[in-house]
This record gives sequence, structure tokens and C-alpha cells, in this order.
Amino acid sequence: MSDAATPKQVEVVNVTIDGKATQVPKGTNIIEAAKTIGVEIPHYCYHPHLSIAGNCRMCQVSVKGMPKMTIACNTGATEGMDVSTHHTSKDVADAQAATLEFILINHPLDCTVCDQAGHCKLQDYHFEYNARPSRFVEEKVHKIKALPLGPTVMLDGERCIMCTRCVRFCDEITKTSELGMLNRGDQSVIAVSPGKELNNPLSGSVVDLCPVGALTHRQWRFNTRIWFTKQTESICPGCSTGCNVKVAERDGNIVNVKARRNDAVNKEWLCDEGRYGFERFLPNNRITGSYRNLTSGSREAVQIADVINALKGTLKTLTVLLSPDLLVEEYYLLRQLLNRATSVGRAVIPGYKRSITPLEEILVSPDYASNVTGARVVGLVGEESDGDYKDVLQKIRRKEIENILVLGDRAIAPQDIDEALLEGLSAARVSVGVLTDADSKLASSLGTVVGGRSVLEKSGLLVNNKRRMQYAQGVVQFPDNSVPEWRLLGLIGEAAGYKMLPVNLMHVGDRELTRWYLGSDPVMSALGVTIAKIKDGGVQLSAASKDSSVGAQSGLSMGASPAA
Amino acid sequence: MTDNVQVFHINARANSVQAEPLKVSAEAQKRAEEIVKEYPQKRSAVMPLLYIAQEHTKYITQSAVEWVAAQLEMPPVQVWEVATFYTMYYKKPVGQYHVQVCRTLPCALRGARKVSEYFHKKLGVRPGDVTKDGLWSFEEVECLGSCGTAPMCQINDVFFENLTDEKLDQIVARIEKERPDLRYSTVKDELGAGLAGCPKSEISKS
Repeated sequence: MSDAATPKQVEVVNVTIDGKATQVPKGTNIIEAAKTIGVEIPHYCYHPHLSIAGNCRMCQVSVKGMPKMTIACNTGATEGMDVSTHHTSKDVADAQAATLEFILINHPLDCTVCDQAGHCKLQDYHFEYNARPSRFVEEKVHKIKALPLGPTVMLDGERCIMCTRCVRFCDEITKTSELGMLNRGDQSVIAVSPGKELNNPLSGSVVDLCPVGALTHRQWRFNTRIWFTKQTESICPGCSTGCNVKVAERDGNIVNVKARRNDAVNKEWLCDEGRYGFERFLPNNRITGSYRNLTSGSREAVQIADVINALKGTLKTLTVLLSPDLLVEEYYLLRQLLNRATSVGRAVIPGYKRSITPLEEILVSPDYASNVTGARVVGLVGEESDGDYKDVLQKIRRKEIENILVLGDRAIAPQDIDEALLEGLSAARVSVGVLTDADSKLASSLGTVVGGRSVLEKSGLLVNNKRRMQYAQGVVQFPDNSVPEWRLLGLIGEAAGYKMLPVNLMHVGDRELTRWYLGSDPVMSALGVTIAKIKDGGVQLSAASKDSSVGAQSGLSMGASPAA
Repeated sequence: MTDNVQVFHINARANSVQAEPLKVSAEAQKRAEEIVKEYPQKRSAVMPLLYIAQEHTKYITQSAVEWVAAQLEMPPVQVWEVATFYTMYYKKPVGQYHVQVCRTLPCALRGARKVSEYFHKKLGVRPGDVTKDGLWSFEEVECLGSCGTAPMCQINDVFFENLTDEKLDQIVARIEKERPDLRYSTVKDELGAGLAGCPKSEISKS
């Protein structure tokens, strides 16, 4: 339910919709009120996070006592209101069918070449509420077919139904006001001001908002039909905001990224950097298999068992460099491992910070280490972890650290990589990395490199910068011989005799790992959350407590105390 | 007849191009500032300011819109929305004398079609076009609110009413000869009233 529609301290009123009684805060619009009892009222222009335009007329309902039909989006609930929707009123159903026929009068019906086909509200609603041929035999109004509005978005003027969601988004959310509706009547067209362009950090969001195929991503036009793709509901790993996304993948390529609604995180917006940069998380030059001296001439393949054997004896003094985009489960597993081994080594994680513009502040977080909070939540690193990380890097440069395990490609921030560091890494007695990209400098200086999985190939838990735990589903199929970080950690534990994961590690999947974590972390099992519950909008953990700053070495007290 | 609804065609590819800033006369600038003061919200003055800008640029250009937007502190695209919604803001150059022939029902019943055909033949241009010498342009518009004196047309800001072919001949001949100033803001001429033989139009009195 929208924030705007339900102000605090408002009286609750009884409303009847299609004979079913419901209670909603006074003033809640009928679309939202109907949602509470599972009745869908069709709409194009209404969006819960934008102002009410009321121009599509698709959400008409009949309210007892009102002389004419009224639009549900702009009618607030009052005590005793009795609403009939298209389910119970033939008049309403007829009106909606007629509205749809009007909306479609000048629509080109070029679904065969339209990127929106398959996820288009016109198709959906026509099937559901009209489903009869058009009676319009006259020539349709023709408008511009492909006008780039800016670097990211293409406009097809003919497909547009003038809902003005995109205009309101630019007016109200980004406040950049690039878009407007020019001309009038059937000649109306969405446009940018002549001499301007739609170019803001959230510009791709207007494509998500467009209920039809009028606005499309320039990057992904004519790419593939949506029904040939595998669509996954996941979390954007681009920064620590943790925006909810739906990613369409085909043959290992990302072909569309859409924002998913989550009022507590990203409403329904997504930044362009996250959306169009999704493929940057996939390696350019994938490491397949495990190798010693990966990039040199003396490269040789090694068995995972050999890697495990080399590592298991080093656990007490092992220094682990962590990528800030590993899963919570992996951080937890590592913490268990270090605790059981009563390790004097430590785990460190780099901070990824940058400056952002005021416009980006709407959504983007200056911290683009997507799951660094996850490592803090399980108590693996402290709240102020940058100092430890810098210390460890200095020690590596001075060649004081013998046993190094690098988990993930981002375990060392690019700006910290220098010659001395790389030399230090090569000089270590045992240096193992779980990496995906053979082009990275880390891959060339570590003794042994294990081909891992990228962020997009793993499913598991992430905690965003506001301490909301969310479930990120892997969007791309991982390569057969890849070894995720958690599997390596589990195998080390098993080899060292700790028996942490209960099942055969080589056959357990990410989902079982998450289930194991939710059951074995005392904090999570106390919360009693399931994967399904986390998937449904995420779980808010309580604010950081003092304990979590203890860090990796200090033992068993759990850092987080999530809300009951 | 061709439907000559004025449509602003967006053909240009979107790009960041700065328009030449519009320079209005000091008198017009002062007039604009006084108009803005009359409204509780600055943006309410968008229509009168568009007229002022149009006086300078002859039709609505990017410079004109950006000048209005700057005066009223509103996004240029919203000025474009207003300018393209109303037909009295010209989206392309018009002649020195711009004829608007009313074609709504009362005028249509009293022979607006003939008036339109008169201009079409006389000027040799189609509705929406400008004559080669740049003196004339004409278009068909919806009701101008002078139904009692149909058929009628408006040339620049002055009404010409109860039109017949003979009257139109006289009007066109005199305008071509005398080149009167028919602008609302400066109109002094009695031409409309004198020629048409009907009460002087309200608009020219004020």
C-alpha cells in the first residue's frame, strides 16, 4: 500500500468491494483497498508512488450512491462505501471494454515487432477485459516511430497511450522535468523539450513505468522476445542499496533488467548504472577449473583436493581477504571455520566508497560494496573494518603474511593494487584465490587460483546498507566446474574435521546452503524466517549493536540482534 | 480539404543544444515583469509571456520558450506543453498578415467554406502555408466567439465579420496597399470596423 495513501493516525473505515468487506485507512484509494481483498482493478496511469493523473479511465468502478461511474485511483475510501467492480457490475465491465477500445483506436498493433509484447498491459487487459476486434476502420493517426529521447530510452509515439507516468516520474521523483506532453488530442506525443535530452541517473526507470511499448531501452531493443528468456527475481549487486530487480537472461546474456517493487528499498525505481551495467559482474575472461601459476608458462591444473590439503593446515594463521559481495552464508561459514580453528589469522574486507551526485542520492548508495553489511551482521568484520584491511595489505607488502586466501574478485580494491602488493602475494607460502576473471592482476600473482562463480551465478542472502536482508537469486547458470567460495570453505572445514555442513558438499545447492544457514545461525533461527519470507520483500534486521565491532578474532558472540 | 490542425512535429533527434538567448525589448521586458506580478504563482503567467515572446520571434522558437521558462522559473518542456496545446501560438513562421478563418458550425452554416476557398484562390496557398512574398498566410481555426456575425475571420488580432466575397476583396486590397498595424498590443487602426461595416470588434477597442 502506498505511503501517500495511508498517512499515519488516520481512522480506519469499512468498505465493501464486490460484496466483500475490508477495512482500510480513510482516504485509501479504491485500487489499493481492492488489493487488500485480492481484487485487481485494471489501470494504466495510476502508480502508487506517483501523483494521480486519472487520464486512462481504465480503473472505473461503480460506487453506490454516486450517479456515474468513478475512477478508483482518485476515489478515497469512506465509511460504508459500497463498490462494484467489473466482477459484479456489467456496466463497469462494459465501460472498461469501451475505454480499452478507445485507447486502442490509434494504437498501431505492431505487437509482432514490439519489445513489450509478452509483458504489455495493453495485451493483458485486452485479453482480460475486452477481447473483441476493434470496430475502428478509419486511418489511424501516425506519429514518430523511433525517437531517441536520450542515451538510454527510445520513444515510439504511436504505441503511447498518454498515461504520463514517465512525465510524472521526471517531475516528481528525479525533479528534472525533461519530459512533457506536446500537442493535444489524438496528436499528443511525449517528448523532451527541443534541444534537451532525457539524461538523468534514473532515466531507464521510465521504461519500467511505461505500461505499453512506447518507451524501450535503446540497449536492448529488438534483442529477444521476452518469452524466450529466463526471468529471475533478484537483487542488484551494484551498490549497497540492494534494489529489487527482475533480470531476463537468454543464453548467458542479460537481455533486460526491470525494477521490482519493494517500498522499503527501491519503491519501483532502478538506476541506469545498475540496470545497464548488469553484465559487468560477469567475467571477461573466465577461469575454468583450478590452476597453479595460472597466467605464467608453468601453468598446471590442480585438483580441488590438493588445494584443500594445502589450506587445511594453515587455518590457524590464515589471512582471508574477502570480496564485499559474497553471500551472508559464506561469511557465516567462514566465521564458523575461523572460530573452530581458533584462528589467529583474520578476515578483512575492503570498503568501496565513491562520491555521488545529489540526483543519484534518490537511490544510489555511496557504498558500492553490496554485502559488506552482511559480513558485519554475522560478526566476521567490525563496523570500522577499513583499518584492518589496510593493515593486512601493508603486511602483505612487507611480506609478513605467509598464508593468504582471497575470496572473490573484489577482495582487493583496484586502487590498492600495486607492485609491492602483488610481489607480497606471490611471495606468500600459500596463496589461494577463488576468482572468476583471468584478466585480473590478482589472478596472475596468486599461487593457486580456483575458478569461482560471479555474483550473478550464486543465490543467497545479501544485507543492504539499511540492514535489510534480501534473497538474491542467481540469474545466470554457473559453469559446471566452478567452485563457489562456500564450497571451498566447507571442504576445508570437512578436511580439518569440523563437519560444518551436514550434506555432501559437492552436491548441495545454494538453496540448501541458505536453508542450512537460516537453521544454524542462532539469530536467524530465533527469527524463524524462511527463504520464502525473505523473498517477499526482505527481512529488516535491527540496528548494529556494539558487539558486532568485535571482529573476526574475538570469538563466538554474535554481532547482530535482529528485531523480533 | 486538408486538415490543418497545427501540430508541432518532433523530428529533431534529442540532443543538448543551447538556443541563442532571446533578446526582448526593454519595454516588453517591463511588461512581462508586470504581468508576472499579477499572479500568486509565477507559472500562471505562461500564456501572456508566450505572446510577448511570439511578438519578438514571430513564431514559437526554442529561444522564445527558454526565455519564458527563465522568466517564470519553470522547466522549458512545460512551456512547450502550453505552446503546442494552443493554436494561437504559431509553431512555424506565419505571414505578416495571418488570417484565421473560423470553420465551426455557425460560420460553417453561413458559408465559412467559401471564405476559406476565397483565401485559398486569392493567395494561392494552402491552409497553413505562407505566400512567397511572406505577406500572407491563412489557416482554418475553431470558434473565435463571433458567431452572431458569421462568417468571420481574424487577421492578426482584428476581427472581420459578416464576410462576403466583395468585402474580402476590399479588405485584402486595402491591407496590401496600406499595410496597417493589426496587432492587439498596438492596434490603432479602424480598418476592421470601417471596412466590414459592422460594429468595431471588441478586441480592437481595448
